Amino acid sequence: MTRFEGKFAVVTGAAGGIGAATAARLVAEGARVLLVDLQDKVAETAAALGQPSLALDISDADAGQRILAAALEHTQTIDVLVNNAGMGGSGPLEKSSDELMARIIDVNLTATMRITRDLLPHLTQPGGSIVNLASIFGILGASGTTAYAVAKAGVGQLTRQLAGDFAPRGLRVNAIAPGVVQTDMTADYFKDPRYRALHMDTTPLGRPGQPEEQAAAIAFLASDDASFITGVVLPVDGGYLAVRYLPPDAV
Amino acid sequence: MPDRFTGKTAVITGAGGALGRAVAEGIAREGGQLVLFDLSEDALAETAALCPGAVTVPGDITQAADVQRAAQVAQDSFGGVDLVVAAAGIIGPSCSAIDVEEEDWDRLFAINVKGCWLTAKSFIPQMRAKRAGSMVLLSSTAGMIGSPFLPAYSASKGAVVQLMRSLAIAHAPEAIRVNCVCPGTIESPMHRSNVDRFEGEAREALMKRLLAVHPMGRFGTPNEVAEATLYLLSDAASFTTGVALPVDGGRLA
Repeated sequence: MTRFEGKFAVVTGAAGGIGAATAARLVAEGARVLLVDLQDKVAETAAALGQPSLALDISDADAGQRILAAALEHTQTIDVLVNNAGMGGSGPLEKSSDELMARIIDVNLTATMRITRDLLPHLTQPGGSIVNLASIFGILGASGTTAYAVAKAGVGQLTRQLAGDFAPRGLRVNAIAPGVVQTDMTADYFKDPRYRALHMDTTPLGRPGQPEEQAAAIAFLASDDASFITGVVLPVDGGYLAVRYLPPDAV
Repeated sequence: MPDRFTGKTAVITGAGGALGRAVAEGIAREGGQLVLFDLSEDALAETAALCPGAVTVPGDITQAADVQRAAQVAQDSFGGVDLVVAAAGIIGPSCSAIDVEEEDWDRLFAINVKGCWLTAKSFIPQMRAKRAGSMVLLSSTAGMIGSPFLPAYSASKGAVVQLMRSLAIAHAPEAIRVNCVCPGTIESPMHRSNVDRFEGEAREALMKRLLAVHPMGRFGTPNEVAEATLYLLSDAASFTTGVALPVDGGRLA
């Protein structure tokens, strides 16, 4: 696999889950990757891949500039930016404090805008590619997770917005919309019978997705294989969005 | 890239067309075996020449017996298919919907919609027997938004997307994935036949309008559509089903 030979990528939220799987996939296909995460554990994840890392809160005002400075120690231009960092922990509106709403929207949406803006002058143009992390919950209404769903819908719209703005200079912008994925972030949800009934039983392929399957989709969109694809929010959801589904033996 | 399709058998309808041919070459390049189906024996032979070991079946996509014959050939030659690409299609008349002639409407729907249905009907049972498989139907950006210039084509491609969704849901429990690619304007004979209906300034105006609606400022290539198709066929897309993936330079965004 050599789709990313000689390419440099930045992956945020790369300490574990989808971000770590994405970094591993890009490295396996030849890329150099800067792994960014809030958790110090990112250094371990990066070291195991033989790659540099940076621990910071992506919602800090200077996060973009610090990521840029760290990347430019290793490369002249950034070919791939994967805005993967995000957080759950959202709730229904009446239980959402100002602080919680601001934090969820800041981390999931505003930080993605800010970091993209700050890295933009150093993204390879033409030929570069940005992949954002939207969600099935930003496409369908998802009860009980107001701020998260609104932020993820914003990521989808940001993707379309930037695709149009950046297309003339040959910079592509896409997103994936993961469905139910087995990660540390979702481990607790998987124990909740209501979550299982609403989101796992209704996934037509009948199983949760794995981080590696999300990483493979991100790698496709980031690669030249997708050279005529921009402005797309690609579901990687086991068929969740295609229908209103219950398994044949459910009722 | 490693050989994503080693040990896999694919059938491609419309294999003599530009997109079908590009997909066929990609699968052959990555180790897959091929059953190629097309109405034109000449076009079929040209594609087969690029794909060593491919088996060809000339036939009419609108005739159940012809498509079933291709399925029988796939069964006899390779023990059935793992991958299905429904690329047979035509663009049909360019005029407002109320001016389309009945026979043109019927022919377009027979090829673009009934053809996909017959392909699914003939080949999904082979994938079901293996409890694995992936099918890609060629739709279009015109299947996602209306078109004042190609209303019949647009309606037919919309039908293909909805057929895809129903197939995806029906066969997900059997681990068969079904998706669409929705190309924008692609540099191909079909595109040229569309614009060549016009001459001089009218042709120029159409070309300009088509370019203007693609934010990337260019048309796609058959190879770019093929790469998206190969991705959806491959195990890299193992958690993606029921999706209509635009390959359109940003047109639908």
